[in-house]
Amino acid sequence: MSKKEEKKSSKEEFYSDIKREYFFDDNKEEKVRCTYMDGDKVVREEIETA
Amino acid sequence: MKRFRDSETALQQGAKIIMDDLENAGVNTFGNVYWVDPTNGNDDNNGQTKDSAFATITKAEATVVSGNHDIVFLSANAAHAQTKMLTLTKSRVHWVGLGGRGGSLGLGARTRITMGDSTVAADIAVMQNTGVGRTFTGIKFDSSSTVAASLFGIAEGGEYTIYKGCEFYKSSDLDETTAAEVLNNGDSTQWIDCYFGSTAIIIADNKIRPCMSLTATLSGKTCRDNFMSGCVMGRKAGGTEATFIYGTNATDVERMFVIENTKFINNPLSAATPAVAVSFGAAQTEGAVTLDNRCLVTDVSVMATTGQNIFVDPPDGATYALAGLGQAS
Repeated sequence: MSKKEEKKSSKEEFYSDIKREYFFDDNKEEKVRCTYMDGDKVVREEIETA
Repeated sequence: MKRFRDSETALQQGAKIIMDDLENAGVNTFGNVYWVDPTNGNDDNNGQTKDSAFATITKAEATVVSGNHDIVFLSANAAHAQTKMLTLTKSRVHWVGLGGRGGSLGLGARTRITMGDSTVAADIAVMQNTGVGRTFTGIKFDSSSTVAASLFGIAEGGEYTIYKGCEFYKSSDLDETTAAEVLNNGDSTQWIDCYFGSTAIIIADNKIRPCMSLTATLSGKTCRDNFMSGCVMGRKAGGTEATFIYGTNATDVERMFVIENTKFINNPLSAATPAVAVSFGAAQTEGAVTLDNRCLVTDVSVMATTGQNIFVDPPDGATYALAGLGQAS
C-alpha cells in the first residue's frame, strides 16, 4: 500500500458543517458551542472557550 | 516614535486620539472615528468615543460617510455576531480590529465578525463589499452558516480594498465544491498577512472547496489586478481534489494576480494529499497568476497545473509546476 493510500484509508469522522454559537457562561466567560453536523444529523457537540 | 502595536494598545485603552496615534496605527486618515463595542455599547450613543460606543457594526456603517476616510474601531472583547450579511457599498471606510495584535499574521485575530445561519435566504456571506478603497485590519471573519446560498465567509467585489492581518474561516459547507472562505471578485485588491481556512476541519473527499474562489459570481465583478503577500492558507484534505485557490472559468482572472511569500499548508495528518494548490477549471485567457519563489506547499503534490497561465518561480530550479515546490510527505 502506498503512503498516499495508507493516508486515504485512515478512519476519520466526517462532518459537513460546524455550527458555531457564541455565548457567555455563568462566569461571564465567552464560550462557543460547536455542533458538528453531517447533513441534518448531529455528530457531536462541544463547548469551547471562544 | 511610537510603534504600531504600542499605539493600538493605547487606543484600546481609550487614549485620546491624535493624528500621530492614527498614523502610527497604520490608519492614515483625516476622517471621523467611530467605536463599536457589542458588550457595553449602545446604538443610541453617538459612537464617537470608547465610552459612547455603538453596539453594532450595522449602526456604524449607517453612520460613516462614504469617501470621507472614516474609521471604525471594533472591540475585540466579544464576537460581533451578525444575523444577516453586512452589505458594504460605501467607499474609503476603514475598519480596524482592536485586539492588540498589530502587525501580526491574521491567524487568531481577536476581533471577530461571526455569523451562524443567516436570517436572509439570499445572503451569500458574512460580509459583501463593493465599495472602493476600503481597508480591513486585524479582523477575523467567521461563518458557520448552513443556509444554501451562504457559500462564502466573505464576498469581495470592491476596488482597491486592502485586507491586512485578517483571518477568514468558514466551518460549514465542507462538502460543497463551490463554497470557500473567500469569494474574490475584487478589482485591485491587496491581501496582506492574512490567514485563510483551517488545518483542523476536514474537507470532504472529491470536493475542491478552495480557501479562495476566483469564480466570477458577483454581477459584473472579476478578480483583476490582485496582489497577495505574506499569507497562509490551511487545509485538512479528505481527498486529492481539495484546492487552495480555484476558479471555474477561463476568464476568472483579468490581467494579473501576483502572489508572493504565501504558503499553502495541507495538514500532514489529513486523509489525502491534494493534487494541486492553485488551479482552474480552464486555462486563463485574460490574465495570469504569478507565484514567486517564496511560495511553498506542504503536503500538496504540486503548486499549479501546467498550461493554465499560472507562472511559478520554483525555489529549487525544479521544472515549472511539474516537480512541485514543497514536500509531498
